[in-house]
Amino acid sequence: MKNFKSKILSQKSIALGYMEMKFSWPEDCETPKAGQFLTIKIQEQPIPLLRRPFALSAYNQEEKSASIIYQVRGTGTEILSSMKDGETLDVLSPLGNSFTMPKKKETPLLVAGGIGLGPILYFARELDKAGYSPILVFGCRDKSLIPDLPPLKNGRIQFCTDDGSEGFHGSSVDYLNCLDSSELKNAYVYSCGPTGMLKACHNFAVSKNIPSETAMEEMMACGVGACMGCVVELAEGQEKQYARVCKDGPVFQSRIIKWT
Amino acid sequence: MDLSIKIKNKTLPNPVGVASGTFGYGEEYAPLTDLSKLGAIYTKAVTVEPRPGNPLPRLVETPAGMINSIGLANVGTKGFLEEKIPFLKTLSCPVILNVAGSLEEDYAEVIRRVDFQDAIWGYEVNISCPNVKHGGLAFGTDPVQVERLTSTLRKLTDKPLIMKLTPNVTDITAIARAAEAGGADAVACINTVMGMVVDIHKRKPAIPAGTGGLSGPAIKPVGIAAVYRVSKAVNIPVIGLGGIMNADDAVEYLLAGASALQIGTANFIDPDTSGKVLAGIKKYMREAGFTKISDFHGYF
Repeated sequence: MKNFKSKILSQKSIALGYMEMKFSWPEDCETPKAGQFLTIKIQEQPIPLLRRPFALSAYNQEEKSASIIYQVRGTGTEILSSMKDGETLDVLSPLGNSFTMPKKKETPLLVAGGIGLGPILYFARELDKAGYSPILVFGCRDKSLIPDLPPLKNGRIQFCTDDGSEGFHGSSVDYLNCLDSSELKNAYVYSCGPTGMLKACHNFAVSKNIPSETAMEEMMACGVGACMGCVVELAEGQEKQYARVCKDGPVFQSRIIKWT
Repeated sequence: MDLSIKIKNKTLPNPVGVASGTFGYGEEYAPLTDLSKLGAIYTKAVTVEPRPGNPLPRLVETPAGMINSIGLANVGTKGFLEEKIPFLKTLSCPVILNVAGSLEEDYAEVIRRVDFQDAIWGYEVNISCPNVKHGGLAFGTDPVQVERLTSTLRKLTDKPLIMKLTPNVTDITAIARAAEAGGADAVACINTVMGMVVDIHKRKPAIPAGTGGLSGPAIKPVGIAAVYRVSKAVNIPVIGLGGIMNADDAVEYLLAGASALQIGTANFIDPDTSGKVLAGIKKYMREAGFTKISDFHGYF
Protein backbone atom coordinates (compact mmCIF):
# COMPACT_ATOMS: atom_id res chain seq x y z
CA MET A 1 0.00 0.00 0.00
CA LYS A 2 1.05 3.52 -0.69
CA ASN A 3 -0.21 7.04 -0.04
CA PHE A 4 0.02 8.87 -3.38
CA LYS A 5 -1.24 11.81 -5.37
CA SER A 6 -3.25 10.95 -8.45
CA LYS A 7 -4.67 12.96 -11.35
CA ILE A 8 -8.32 12.58 -12.28
CA LEU A 9 -8.40 11.40 -15.91
CA SER A 10 -12.15 11.33 -16.44
CA GLN A 11 -15.40 11.34 -14.55
CA LYS A 12 -18.87 10.53 -15.86
CA SER A 13 -22.35 9.63 -14.71
CA ILE A 14 -23.11 5.98 -15.49
CA ALA A 15 -26.61 5.72 -13.99
CA LEU A 16 -28.95 7.80 -11.87
CA GLY A 17 -26.82 9.00 -8.92
CA TYR A 18 -23.85 6.77 -9.85
CA MET A 19 -20.50 8.07 -11.08
CA GLU A 20 -17.42 6.40 -12.53
CA MET A 21 -14.08 8.11 -11.99
CA LYS A 22 -10.82 7.16 -13.70
CA PHE A 23 -7.51 8.38 -12.26
CA SER A 24 -3.79 7.84 -12.71
CA TRP A 25 -1.97 5.05 -10.92
CA PRO A 26 1.72 5.52 -10.02
CA GLU A 27 4.41 3.40 -11.67
CA ASP A 28 5.90 2.41 -8.33
CA CYS A 29 2.65 1.28 -6.71
CA GLU A 30 1.70 -2.39 -6.70
CA THR A 31 -0.99 -3.61 -9.08
CA PRO A 32 -4.37 -3.73 -7.35
CA LYS A 33 -6.58 -6.81 -7.42
CA ALA A 34 -10.35 -7.14 -7.73
CA GLY A 35 -11.94 -6.75 -4.32
CA GLN A 36 -9.27 -4.38 -3.02
CA PHE A 37 -10.12 -0.80 -2.22
CA LEU A 38 -8.68 2.66 -1.73
CA THR A 39 -9.39 5.60 0.50
CA ILE A 40 -9.52 9.19 -0.69
CA LYS A 41 -8.88 12.27 1.40
CA ILE A 42 -11.66 14.46 0.13
CA GLN A 43 -10.31 17.86 1.16
CA GLU A 44 -8.22 19.69 3.78
CA GLN A 45 -11.18 21.10 5.70
CA PRO A 46 -12.33 19.01 8.67
CA ILE A 47 -15.87 18.52 7.36
CA PRO A 48 -16.05 15.82 6.15
CA LEU A 49 -13.18 14.63 8.30
CA LEU A 50 -12.42 11.01 7.49
CA ARG A 51 -11.05 9.54 4.29
CA ARG A 52 -13.70 7.82 2.18
CA PRO A 53 -13.28 4.17 1.11
CA PHE A 54 -14.13 3.06 -2.46
CA ALA A 55 -13.73 -0.35 -4.08
CA LEU A 56 -11.68 -0.41 -7.26
CA SER A 57 -13.80 -1.10 -10.36
CA ALA A 58 -11.03 -1.34 -12.96
CA TYR A 59 -7.28 -1.20 -13.46
CA ASN A 60 -5.48 -0.60 -16.75
CA GLN A 61 -1.88 -1.79 -16.74
CA GLU A 62 -0.92 -0.15 -20.07
CA GLU A 63 -2.50 3.19 -19.28
CA LYS A 64 -1.51 3.06 -15.59
CA SER A 65 -4.96 4.06 -14.50
CA ALA A 66 -7.62 2.76 -12.13
CA SER A 67 -11.32 3.47 -11.66
CA ILE A 68 -14.00 3.54 -9.00
CA ILE A 69 -17.79 3.53 -9.21
CA TYR A 70 -19.49 5.49 -6.47
CA GLN A 71 -22.89 6.76 -5.48
CA VAL A 72 -23.38 10.43 -4.66
CA ARG A 73 -25.00 10.22 -1.24
CA GLY A 74 -23.32 12.64 1.17
CA THR A 75 -21.03 15.64 1.50
CA GLY A 76 -17.88 13.69 0.67
CA THR A 77 -19.17 12.09 -2.52
CA GLU A 78 -20.83 15.37 -3.57
CA ILE A 79 -17.44 17.10 -3.38
CA LEU A 80 -15.83 14.20 -5.24
CA SER A 81 -18.42 14.33 -8.00
CA SER A 82 -17.77 18.05 -8.53
CA MET A 83 -14.04 17.49 -9.15
CA LYS A 84 -12.79 17.96 -12.71
CA ASP A 85 -10.31 16.17 -14.96
CA GLY A 86 -6.76 17.08 -14.02
CA GLU A 87 -7.53 17.77 -10.38
CA THR A 88 -5.47 15.92 -7.78
CA LEU A 89 -6.66 13.14 -5.48
CA ASP A 90 -4.94 12.01 -2.27
CA VAL A 91 -5.16 8.20 -2.50
CA LEU A 92 -4.19 5.41 -0.10
CA SER A 93 -4.17 2.04 -1.88
CA PRO A 94 -4.31 -0.84 -2.57
CA LEU A 95 -5.97 -1.87 0.70
CA GLY A 96 -7.51 -5.12 1.91
CA ASN A 97 -7.65 -8.56 0.32
CA SER A 98 -9.19 -9.69 -2.94
CA PHE A 99 -11.55 -12.28 -4.42
CA THR A 100 -10.20 -15.80 -4.85
CA MET A 101 -9.88 -17.11 -8.38
CA PRO A 102 -12.17 -20.11 -8.83
CA LYS A 103 -10.93 -23.50 -9.99
CA LYS A 104 -10.78 -23.84 -13.76
CA LYS A 105 -13.88 -26.02 -13.98
CA GLU A 106 -16.04 -23.68 -11.87
CA THR A 107 -18.63 -21.20 -13.15
CA PRO A 108 -18.35 -17.85 -11.39
CA LEU A 109 -21.73 -16.35 -10.45
CA LEU A 110 -21.10 -12.70 -9.63
CA VAL A 111 -23.89 -10.83 -7.91
CA ALA A 112 -23.87 -7.05 -7.45
CA GLY A 113 -26.21 -4.45 -6.06
CA GLY A 114 -25.74 -0.67 -5.96
CA ILE A 115 -22.12 0.41 -5.58
CA GLY A 116 -21.26 -3.26 -5.16
CA LEU A 117 -21.08 -3.24 -8.95
CA GLY A 118 -17.55 -1.77 -8.91
CA PRO A 119 -15.54 -4.67 -7.47
CA ILE A 120 -17.80 -7.28 -9.05
CA LEU A 121 -17.36 -5.72 -12.49
CA TYR A 122 -13.58 -5.62 -12.01
CA PHE A 123 -13.54 -9.30 -11.06
CA ALA A 124 -15.91 -10.28 -13.87
CA ARG A 125 -13.59 -8.68 -16.46
CA GLU A 126 -10.54 -10.39 -14.91
CA LEU A 127 -12.29 -13.74 -15.04
CA ASP A 128 -13.49 -13.10 -18.58
CA LYS A 129 -9.94 -12.31 -19.66
CA ALA A 130 -8.67 -15.44 -17.94
CA GLY A 131 -11.03 -17.61 -19.99
CA TYR A 132 -13.81 -18.27 -17.49
CA SER A 133 -17.47 -17.80 -18.39
CA PRO A 134 -18.68 -15.53 -15.59
CA ILE A 135 -22.36 -14.67 -15.17
CA LEU A 136 -22.65 -11.16 -13.74
CA VAL A 137 -26.05 -10.50 -12.18
CA PHE A 138 -26.79 -6.88 -11.34
CA GLY A 139 -29.94 -6.12 -9.40
CA CYS A 140 -31.52 -2.71 -8.85
CA ARG A 141 -34.85 -0.95 -8.36
CA ASP A 142 -35.56 0.12 -11.96
CA LYS A 143 -33.91 0.76 -15.33
CA SER A 144 -32.73 4.28 -14.41
CA LEU A 145 -30.08 2.62 -12.24
CA ILE A 146 -28.74 0.36 -14.96
CA PRO A 147 -25.36 1.47 -16.33
CA ASP A 148 -24.26 1.02 -19.91
CA LEU A 149 -21.64 -1.73 -19.71
CA PRO A 150 -19.54 -3.25 -22.49
CA PRO A 151 -20.39 -6.96 -22.83
CA LEU A 152 -18.14 -9.73 -21.56
CA LYS A 153 -16.39 -11.84 -24.20
CA ASN A 154 -16.88 -15.25 -22.64
CA GLY A 155 -19.50 -14.56 -20.00
CA ARG A 156 -22.70 -12.57 -19.82
CA ILE A 157 -24.28 -9.72 -17.88
CA GLN A 158 -27.83 -10.07 -16.59
CA PHE A 159 -29.75 -7.07 -15.28
CA CYS A 160 -32.59 -7.59 -12.83
CA THR A 161 -35.08 -4.89 -11.82
CA ASP A 162 -37.55 -4.93 -8.96
CA ASP A 163 -40.21 -3.33 -11.17
CA GLY A 164 -39.44 -5.32 -14.31
CA SER A 165 -38.64 -2.16 -16.30
CA GLU A 166 -35.60 -3.88 -17.81
CA GLY A 167 -34.08 -7.34 -17.79
CA PHE A 168 -35.27 -10.01 -15.41
CA HIS A 169 -38.27 -9.01 -13.27
CA GLY A 170 -37.20 -9.75 -9.71
CA SER A 171 -34.18 -9.74 -7.44
CA SER A 172 -30.71 -11.04 -8.28
CA VAL A 173 -31.27 -14.05 -6.09
CA ASP A 174 -34.63 -14.73 -7.74
CA TYR A 175 -32.64 -14.88 -10.96
CA LEU A 176 -30.05 -17.25 -9.48
CA ASN A 177 -32.88 -19.53 -8.46
CA CYS A 178 -34.00 -19.68 -12.09
CA LEU A 179 -30.63 -20.87 -13.36
CA ASP A 180 -30.38 -24.28 -14.89
CA SER A 181 -28.99 -26.93 -12.56
CA SER A 182 -26.13 -27.56 -15.01
CA GLU A 183 -25.00 -23.93 -14.51
CA LEU A 184 -25.08 -24.40 -10.76
CA LYS A 185 -23.24 -27.71 -10.74
CA ASN A 186 -19.78 -26.21 -10.37
CA ALA A 187 -20.75 -22.68 -9.48
CA TYR A 188 -18.91 -20.30 -7.16
CA VAL A 189 -20.87 -17.29 -5.87
CA TYR A 190 -19.26 -13.86 -5.39
CA SER A 191 -21.34 -10.98 -4.07
CA CYS A 192 -21.06 -7.31 -3.17
CA GLY A 193 -23.88 -4.93 -2.34
CA PRO A 194 -26.51 -4.25 0.31
CA THR A 195 -26.41 -6.53 3.38
CA GLY A 196 -29.82 -8.05 2.64
CA MET A 197 -28.64 -9.08 -0.82
CA LEU A 198 -25.39 -10.51 0.56
CA LYS A 199 -27.29 -12.57 3.10
CA ALA A 200 -29.64 -13.85 0.39
CA CYS A 201 -26.64 -14.82 -1.78
CA HIS A 202 -25.10 -16.63 1.17
CA ASN A 203 -28.33 -18.52 1.86
CA PHE A 204 -28.62 -19.38 -1.82
CA ALA A 205 -25.06 -20.75 -1.87
CA VAL A 206 -25.67 -22.79 1.28
CA SER A 207 -28.91 -24.21 -0.16
CA LYS A 208 -27.09 -25.29 -3.34
CA ASN A 209 -24.01 -26.43 -1.45
CA ILE A 210 -21.69 -24.21 -3.46
CA PRO A 211 -18.87 -21.97 -2.18
CA SER A 212 -19.50 -18.27 -1.73
CA GLU A 213 -17.42 -15.16 -1.11
CA THR A 214 -18.74 -11.77 -0.17
CA ALA A 215 -17.20 -8.29 -0.08
CA MET A 216 -18.38 -6.45 3.04
CA GLU A 217 -18.79 -2.76 3.75
CA GLU A 218 -18.61 -1.01 7.15
CA MET A 219 -17.96 2.50 8.38
CA MET A 220 -14.17 2.90 8.32
CA ALA A 221 -11.67 5.22 10.00
CA CYS A 222 -8.06 4.12 9.36
CA GLY A 223 -8.49 1.62 6.49
CA VAL A 224 -5.26 -0.17 7.43
CA GLY A 225 -6.27 -2.36 10.38
CA ALA A 226 -5.17 -0.12 13.24
CA CYS A 227 -8.35 1.28 14.76
CA MET A 228 -10.58 -1.83 14.98
CA GLY A 229 -13.57 0.29 13.96
CA CYS A 230 -14.85 -1.44 10.82
CA VAL A 231 -15.45 -4.92 12.19
CA VAL A 232 -18.04 -7.51 11.17
CA GLU A 233 -19.26 -10.19 13.55
CA LEU A 234 -18.20 -13.73 12.73
CA ALA A 235 -20.27 -16.89 12.96
CA GLU A 236 -20.01 -19.12 16.02
CA GLY A 237 -17.14 -21.54 15.86
CA GLN A 238 -14.73 -19.03 14.34
CA GLU A 239 -11.54 -18.35 16.24
CA LYS A 240 -12.44 -14.69 16.76
CA GLN A 241 -15.74 -12.90 17.38
CA TYR A 242 -15.00 -10.03 15.01
CA ALA A 243 -12.91 -9.46 11.90
CA ARG A 244 -11.72 -6.15 10.43
CA VAL A 245 -13.28 -5.35 7.08
CA CYS A 246 -10.30 -3.20 6.04
CA LYS A 247 -7.51 -5.64 6.88
CA ASP A 248 -8.99 -9.14 7.26
CA GLY A 249 -11.42 -8.38 4.40
CA PRO A 250 -13.23 -6.83 2.68
CA VAL A 251 -13.67 -10.24 1.01
CA PHE A 252 -14.72 -13.09 3.29
CA GLN A 253 -15.98 -16.62 2.80
CA SER A 254 -19.67 -15.93 3.43
CA ARG A 255 -19.99 -18.90 5.79
CA ILE A 256 -17.70 -17.28 8.37
CA ILE A 257 -19.92 -14.19 8.68
CA LYS A 258 -22.67 -14.04 11.29
CA TRP A 259 -25.73 -13.11 9.23
CA THR A 260 -28.44 -11.60 11.41
CA MET B 1 17.75 22.76 18.53
CA ASP B 2 16.91 20.45 21.43
CA LEU B 3 13.62 18.66 20.87
CA SER B 4 14.04 16.03 23.58
CA ILE B 5 11.76 15.73 26.60
CA LYS B 6 12.75 14.07 29.84
CA ILE B 7 10.16 12.00 31.68
CA LYS B 8 11.39 10.39 34.91
CA ASN B 9 14.80 8.95 34.07
CA LYS B 10 14.26 8.61 30.33
CA THR B 11 14.18 10.87 27.32
CA LEU B 12 11.77 11.11 24.41
CA PRO B 13 13.73 12.14 21.29
CA ASN B 14 11.08 14.61 20.18
CA PRO B 15 7.66 15.75 21.36
CA VAL B 16 5.46 14.21 18.63
CA GLY B 17 4.08 10.75 19.36
CA VAL B 18 1.10 8.83 18.01
CA ALA B 19 -1.90 8.26 20.26
CA SER B 20 -3.11 4.94 21.56
CA GLY B 21 -5.94 3.37 19.60
CA THR B 22 -5.11 5.27 16.43
CA PHE B 23 -1.92 3.53 15.39
CA GLY B 24 -2.43 -0.15 16.25
CA TYR B 25 0.88 -1.62 17.37
CA GLY B 26 2.91 0.33 14.83
CA GLU B 27 3.16 -2.35 12.18
CA GLU B 28 -0.01 -1.28 10.39
CA TYR B 29 1.46 2.13 9.55
CA ALA B 30 5.06 1.08 8.88
CA PRO B 31 4.66 1.28 5.07
CA LEU B 32 3.18 4.78 5.28
CA THR B 33 5.35 6.80 7.64
CA ASP B 34 8.88 6.68 9.02
CA LEU B 35 8.39 5.16 12.47
CA SER B 36 11.98 5.96 13.47
CA LYS B 37 11.11 9.67 13.45
CA LEU B 38 8.28 9.35 15.96
CA GLY B 39 8.70 10.80 19.41
CA ALA B 40 6.89 7.71 20.72
CA ILE B 41 4.34 5.10 19.76
CA TYR B 42 1.62 4.79 22.37
CA THR B 43 0.27 1.31 21.62
CA LYS B 44 -3.30 0.16 21.32
CA ALA B 45 -4.50 -0.55 24.89
CA VAL B 46 -3.55 -3.93 26.30
CA THR B 47 -5.62 -5.74 28.95
CA VAL B 48 -4.74 -8.94 30.82
CA GLU B 49 -6.98 -11.11 28.64
CA PRO B 50 -7.86 -10.46 24.97
CA ARG B 51 -11.05 -8.47 24.40
CA PRO B 52 -13.29 -8.77 21.33
CA GLY B 53 -14.57 -5.20 21.73
CA ASN B 54 -18.03 -3.70 21.41
CA PRO B 55 -20.84 -4.62 19.01
CA LEU B 56 -20.96 -2.83 15.68
CA PRO B 57 -21.31 -0.24 14.34
CA ARG B 58 -18.41 1.19 16.30
CA LEU B 59 -17.84 4.44 14.45
CA VAL B 60 -19.82 7.47 13.39
CA GLU B 61 -18.54 10.68 11.85
CA THR B 62 -19.57 14.02 13.38
CA PRO B 63 -18.93 17.63 12.35
CA ALA B 64 -15.12 17.97 12.51
CA GLY B 65 -14.83 14.76 14.48
CA MET B 66 -15.76 11.15 14.95
CA ILE B 67 -17.24 9.08 17.74
CA ASN B 68 -15.87 5.63 18.44
CA SER B 69 -17.00 2.82 20.63
CA ILE B 70 -14.30 0.23 20.04
CA GLY B 71 -14.44 -1.15 23.58
CA LEU B 72 -10.73 -1.81 24.06
CA ALA B 73 -10.62 -4.61 21.49
CA ASN B 74 -7.09 -5.99 21.88
CA VAL B 75 -4.93 -9.10 21.78
CA GLY B 76 -4.37 -9.36 25.56
CA THR B 77 -1.04 -9.52 27.37
CA LYS B 78 -0.02 -12.94 26.05
CA GLY B 79 -0.94 -11.95 22.50
CA PHE B 80 0.96 -8.70 22.87
CA LEU B 81 4.11 -10.46 24.01
CA GLU B 82 3.90 -13.17 21.35
CA GLU B 83 2.56 -11.27 18.33
CA LYS B 84 3.38 -7.60 18.78
CA ILE B 85 6.63 -7.30 20.73
CA PRO B 86 8.83 -8.90 18.01
CA PHE B 87 8.02 -6.04 15.62
CA LEU B 88 8.12 -3.35 18.30
CA LYS B 89 11.60 -4.57 19.31
CA THR B 90 12.88 -3.60 15.86
CA LEU B 91 11.90 0.05 16.28
CA SER B 92 14.27 2.80 17.32
CA CYS B 93 11.53 5.10 18.67
CA PRO B 94 10.22 4.72 22.24
CA VAL B 95 7.30 2.32 22.65
CA ILE B 96 4.89 3.27 25.41
CA LEU B 97 2.45 0.53 26.34
CA ASN B 98 -1.09 1.71 26.94
CA VAL B 99 -2.44 -0.36 29.84
CA ALA B 100 -6.15 -0.86 30.50
CA GLY B 101 -8.25 -2.94 32.85
CA SER B 102 -11.50 -3.38 34.71
CA LEU B 103 -10.04 -3.67 38.21
CA GLU B 104 -6.95 -2.19 39.85
CA GLU B 105 -5.46 -5.67 39.89
CA ASP B 106 -5.88 -5.99 36.11
CA TYR B 107 -3.70 -2.94 35.46
CA ALA B 108 -1.11 -4.27 37.89
CA GLU B 109 -1.13 -7.70 36.29
CA VAL B 110 -0.42 -6.33 32.81
CA ILE B 111 2.60 -4.41 34.11
CA ARG B 112 3.86 -7.39 36.11
CA ARG B 113 3.76 -9.60 33.01
CA VAL B 114 5.44 -7.22 30.56
CA ASP B 115 7.81 -5.11 32.63
CA PHE B 116 10.80 -7.36 31.85
CA GLN B 117 10.58 -6.37 28.18
CA ASP B 118 13.28 -3.83 27.34
CA ALA B 119 11.34 -2.82 24.24
CA ILE B 120 8.76 -1.12 26.48
CA TRP B 121 9.97 2.39 27.28
CA GLY B 122 7.16 3.20 29.69
CA TYR B 123 3.45 2.97 30.39
CA GLU B 124 0.45 5.09 29.67
CA VAL B 125 -2.32 4.07 32.03
CA ASN B 126 -5.76 4.33 30.48
CA ILE B 127 -8.05 5.41 33.29
CA SER B 128 -10.29 7.32 30.97
CA CYS B 129 -11.81 5.09 28.31
CA PRO B 130 -15.49 5.97 27.96
CA ASN B 131 -16.29 2.77 26.09
CA VAL B 132 -16.02 0.02 28.70
CA LYS B 133 -18.63 -0.80 31.30
CA HIS B 134 -16.24 -1.51 34.17
CA GLY B 135 -13.01 0.28 34.97
CA GLY B 136 -11.94 2.82 32.37
CA LEU B 137 -13.76 6.06 32.97
CA ALA B 138 -14.85 4.99 36.46
CA PHE B 139 -11.23 5.10 37.64
CA GLY B 140 -10.42 8.38 36.01
CA THR B 141 -13.19 10.40 37.61
CA ASP B 142 -12.33 9.76 41.26
CA PRO B 143 -9.14 11.38 42.66
CA VAL B 144 -8.92 8.85 45.50
CA GLN B 145 -8.97 5.90 43.11
CA VAL B 146 -6.52 7.62 40.75
CA GLU B 147 -3.99 8.21 43.52
CA ARG B 148 -4.36 4.67 44.84
CA LEU B 149 -4.04 3.05 41.41
CA THR B 150 -1.04 5.22 40.49
CA SER B 151 0.61 4.40 43.79
CA THR B 152 0.03 0.66 43.28
CA LEU B 153 1.48 0.70 39.78
CA ARG B 154 4.38 2.93 40.84
CA LYS B 155 5.66 0.13 43.07
CA LEU B 156 5.70 -2.32 40.17
CA THR B 157 7.99 -0.55 37.72
CA ASP B 158 10.91 1.81 37.40
CA LYS B 159 9.79 2.80 33.91
CA PRO B 160 7.99 6.10 33.30
CA LEU B 161 4.32 6.01 34.31
CA ILE B 162 1.95 8.33 32.47
CA MET B 163 -1.67 8.62 33.61
CA LYS B 164 -4.08 9.41 30.75
CA LEU B 165 -6.83 11.67 32.02
CA THR B 166 -10.43 12.08 30.94
CA PRO B 167 -12.02 15.47 30.22
CA ASN B 168 -15.36 14.04 31.38
CA VAL B 169 -14.95 15.36 34.94
CA THR B 170 -15.83 18.52 36.83
CA ASP B 171 -12.24 19.41 37.67
CA ILE B 172 -9.45 17.70 35.72
CA THR B 173 -6.79 19.44 37.83
CA ALA B 174 -7.92 17.50 40.92
CA ILE B 175 -7.41 14.23 39.04
CA ALA B 176 -4.01 15.37 37.75
CA ARG B 177 -2.86 16.29 41.26
CA ALA B 178 -4.01 12.89 42.51
CA ALA B 179 -1.95 11.19 39.79
CA GLU B 180 1.10 13.26 40.73
CA ALA B 181 0.61 12.47 44.42
CA GLY B 182 0.44 8.76 43.58
CA GLY B 183 3.82 8.93 41.86
CA ALA B 184 2.96 9.51 38.18
CA ASP B 185 5.83 10.81 36.05
CA ALA B 186 3.57 12.60 33.59
CA VAL B 187 -0.08 13.01 32.72
CA ALA B 188 -1.69 12.90 29.26
CA CYS B 189 -4.62 15.21 28.53
CA ILE B 190 -7.10 14.37 27.09
CA ASN B 191 -8.82 11.14 26.22
CA THR B 192 -11.98 11.36 24.12
CA VAL B 193 -14.96 13.47 25.14
CA MET B 194 -18.21 11.62 25.70
CA GLY B 195 -20.54 12.24 22.78
CA MET B 196 -23.60 10.85 21.07
CA VAL B 197 -25.23 10.82 17.65
CA VAL B 198 -28.86 9.86 17.12
CA ASP B 199 -29.94 8.25 13.86
CA ILE B 200 -33.19 10.09 13.19
CA HIS B 201 -34.26 7.60 10.51
CA LYS B 202 -33.86 4.55 12.74
CA ARG B 203 -34.86 6.65 15.79
CA LYS B 204 -32.11 5.23 17.96
CA PRO B 205 -28.47 5.96 18.85
CA ALA B 206 -26.09 5.66 15.90
CA ILE B 207 -23.88 3.26 17.88
CA PRO B 208 -25.35 0.48 20.04
CA ALA B 209 -23.66 1.67 23.23
CA GLY B 210 -25.45 5.02 22.88
CA THR B 211 -22.56 7.23 23.85
CA GLY B 212 -18.97 6.96 22.66
CA GLY B 213 -15.72 8.88 22.59
CA LEU B 214 -15.58 12.02 20.45
CA SER B 215 -12.20 12.83 18.89
CA GLY B 216 -10.78 15.01 16.12
CA PRO B 217 -10.60 18.77 15.56
CA ALA B 218 -13.95 19.23 17.31
CA ILE B 219 -12.33 18.57 20.71
CA LYS B 220 -9.12 20.56 20.30
CA PRO B 221 -10.24 23.54 22.42
CA VAL B 222 -11.27 21.14 25.19
CA GLY B 223 -7.84 19.52 25.12
CA ILE B 224 -5.96 22.79 25.10
CA ALA B 225 -7.98 24.11 28.04
CA ALA B 226 -7.24 20.91 29.96
CA VAL B 227 -3.51 21.11 29.23
CA TYR B 228 -3.44 24.79 30.20
CA ARG B 229 -5.13 24.18 33.54
CA VAL B 230 -3.34 20.93 34.38
CA SER B 231 0.12 22.28 33.54
CA LYS B 232 -0.41 25.01 36.11
CA ALA B 233 -1.64 22.51 38.72
CA VAL B 234 1.17 19.92 38.63
CA ASN B 235 4.95 19.84 38.45
CA ILE B 236 5.25 16.85 36.13
CA PRO B 237 5.22 16.99 32.31
CA VAL B 238 1.86 17.22 30.59
CA ILE B 239 1.39 15.40 27.30
CA GLY B 240 -1.22 17.10 25.16
CA LEU B 241 -3.59 15.46 22.72
CA GLY B 242 -7.01 15.96 21.26
CA GLY B 243 -7.67 17.14 17.72
CA ILE B 244 -4.11 17.93 16.62
CA MET B 245 -4.23 17.98 12.81
CA ASN B 246 -1.21 20.13 11.91
CA ALA B 247 1.79 22.00 13.30
CA ASP B 248 -0.24 25.08 14.27
CA ASP B 249 -2.47 22.92 16.49
CA ALA B 250 0.63 21.37 18.03
CA VAL B 251 2.18 24.76 18.75
CA GLU B 252 -1.04 25.83 20.45
CA TYR B 253 -0.75 22.86 22.79
CA LEU B 254 2.93 23.55 23.47
CA LEU B 255 2.29 27.21 24.26
CA ALA B 256 -0.60 26.19 26.53
CA GLY B 257 1.78 24.08 28.60
CA ALA B 258 2.26 20.70 26.93
CA SER B 259 5.75 19.20 27.03
CA ALA B 260 4.93 16.49 24.48
CA LEU B 261 2.10 15.68 22.11
CA GLN B 262 0.18 12.82 20.58
CA ILE B 263 -1.37 12.70 17.13
CA GLY B 264 -4.62 10.70 17.19
CA THR B 265 -7.49 10.88 14.73
CA ALA B 266 -5.32 12.76 12.21
CA ASN B 267 -3.38 9.52 11.58
CA PHE B 268 -6.52 8.16 9.91
CA ILE B 269 -6.64 11.06 7.48
CA ASP B 270 -2.93 11.48 6.81
CA PRO B 271 -0.70 8.68 8.15
CA ASP B 272 2.30 11.00 7.98
CA THR B 273 0.76 13.78 10.11
CA SER B 274 3.30 13.26 12.90
CA GLY B 275 6.24 13.82 10.54
CA LYS B 276 4.66 16.96 9.14
CA VAL B 277 3.80 18.27 12.62
CA LEU B 278 7.38 17.74 13.80
CA ALA B 279 8.75 19.56 10.77
CA GLY B 280 6.30 22.41 11.42
CA ILE B 281 7.30 22.67 15.08
CA LYS B 282 10.97 22.94 14.08
CA LYS B 283 10.13 25.68 11.56
CA TYR B 284 8.14 27.57 14.20
CA MET B 285 11.02 27.24 16.67
CA ARG B 286 13.55 28.53 14.13
CA GLU B 287 11.37 31.52 13.32
CA ALA B 288 10.59 32.26 16.97
CA GLY B 289 14.21 31.84 18.05
CA PHE B 290 13.37 28.93 20.34
CA THR B 291 16.18 26.47 21.01
CA LYS B 292 14.40 23.89 23.19
CA ILE B 293 10.84 22.69 23.78
CA SER B 294 10.70 24.28 27.22
CA ASP B 295 11.04 27.68 25.47
CA PHE B 296 7.35 27.33 24.62
CA HIS B 297 6.27 27.41 28.21
CA GLY B 298 5.45 30.43 30.27
CA TYR B 299 4.10 32.75 27.61
CA PHE B 300 0.80 33.22 29.39
